[in-house]
Amino acid sequence: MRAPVILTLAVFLLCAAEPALAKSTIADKTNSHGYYDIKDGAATADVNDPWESFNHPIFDFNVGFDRHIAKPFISCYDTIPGGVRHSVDHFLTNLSEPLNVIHGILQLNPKIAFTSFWRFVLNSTFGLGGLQDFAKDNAGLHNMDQDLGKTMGHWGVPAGPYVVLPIMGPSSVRDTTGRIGDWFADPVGWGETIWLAGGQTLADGIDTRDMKAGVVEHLYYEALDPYVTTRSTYRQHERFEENSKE
Amino acid sequence: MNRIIRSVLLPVIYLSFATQAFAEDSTPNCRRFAEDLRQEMVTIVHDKNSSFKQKHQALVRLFQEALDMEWIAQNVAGSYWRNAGEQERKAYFKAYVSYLPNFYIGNFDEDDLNGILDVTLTKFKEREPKQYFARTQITQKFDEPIDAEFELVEAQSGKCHIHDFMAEGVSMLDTQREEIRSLGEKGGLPYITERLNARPQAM
Repeated sequence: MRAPVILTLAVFLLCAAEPALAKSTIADKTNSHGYYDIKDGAATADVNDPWESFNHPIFDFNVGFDRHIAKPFISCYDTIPGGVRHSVDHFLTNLSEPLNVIHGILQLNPKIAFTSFWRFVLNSTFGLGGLQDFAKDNAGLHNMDQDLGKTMGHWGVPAGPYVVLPIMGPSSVRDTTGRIGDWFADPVGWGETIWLAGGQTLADGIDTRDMKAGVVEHLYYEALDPYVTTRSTYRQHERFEENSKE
Repeated sequence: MNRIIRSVLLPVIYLSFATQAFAEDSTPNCRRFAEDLRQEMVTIVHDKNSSFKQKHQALVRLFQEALDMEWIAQNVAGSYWRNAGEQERKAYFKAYVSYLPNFYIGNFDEDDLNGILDVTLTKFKEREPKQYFARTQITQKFDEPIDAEFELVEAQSGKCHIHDFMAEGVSMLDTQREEIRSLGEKGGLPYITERLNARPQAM
């Protein structure tokens, strides 16, 4: 019942974003001097950030949240031995495998579907309930992280404008819609109580912040213009994932 | 007779050796450069006799030598560079050369370096004359392998340099260009330089 509402909302947002998307597409990248002319706007290609005035304050809030809450917490979390933290990461990754299977099927990509299926089976059994990545270490089956945003991208849905989500960080209209859709589509969540689901989300957040600590430090605290660098990095990576074929 | 033999035979022998040497040396300079770079990086990372700080310094030096810093600094500043005076350019370049390696290598911690198992050159091809593309794969102890891609350019002198590198589709050059542009809009090259100097410098 909720899915049509989400899809309608996504289509509406994407349509609203269309003019901004067209305006920001610039083809010619170099000038007669042989290097990029910034004032010609070459560097702003594909930025597509029409809601920057909303996004920027949320980004500043996120940096503040990270500085005062997430980072100190992760410093404490880091006192737990690396092996234990990696087991937590493996466990949470394993819980995402059923959703990867669904997205493999939705993308008509048997490699993703079968790899994710066997990873879930092997890691849930021989990998001690997912605490160890048995499938990678013994069968060479690597995690093929998927989500609804990627599936929509696979079928040609444009990313839409750049969006900064509170606490969760950089996203796009498509990926935000995908996150909401995945919340409902994830088979692991079907049998969970609200408390268990909330706990899993919190654990996911802590694990992601811990595993991506270097990237967060790099973007939030070391960049000359953290907002622009984070946006640029997110957009480039998004395009890379759209273009790479599994 | 001997003189004739020497005058004819020696050049032939010399030429045959020279041809052989040339044939062995037909690998593009940039391929050798990429392989040497890969090897040097592995050596630095796995050097058991060096402290973390020494490894870090060695990587910064390697980074500064391998990248065409002058080209990159000009490229990312674009019109702000062209419209600036000589003194402003010098100040900017000095700040940028110090900033860039620290930005990309500065947040490598000991675990990151120790976690690198190997670096292999998985692809190398000529895109255009004297312009090459190289892909390396970094295998890590705890994480999935990372593909890092490089754009290499061979100068007329035969020396190779990196003009751009990408990991997971994120280009250093594109990111730097957007970042420098956003600063340039606020105050041109002097403001960019001021902000560069305010950042942590290389160890």
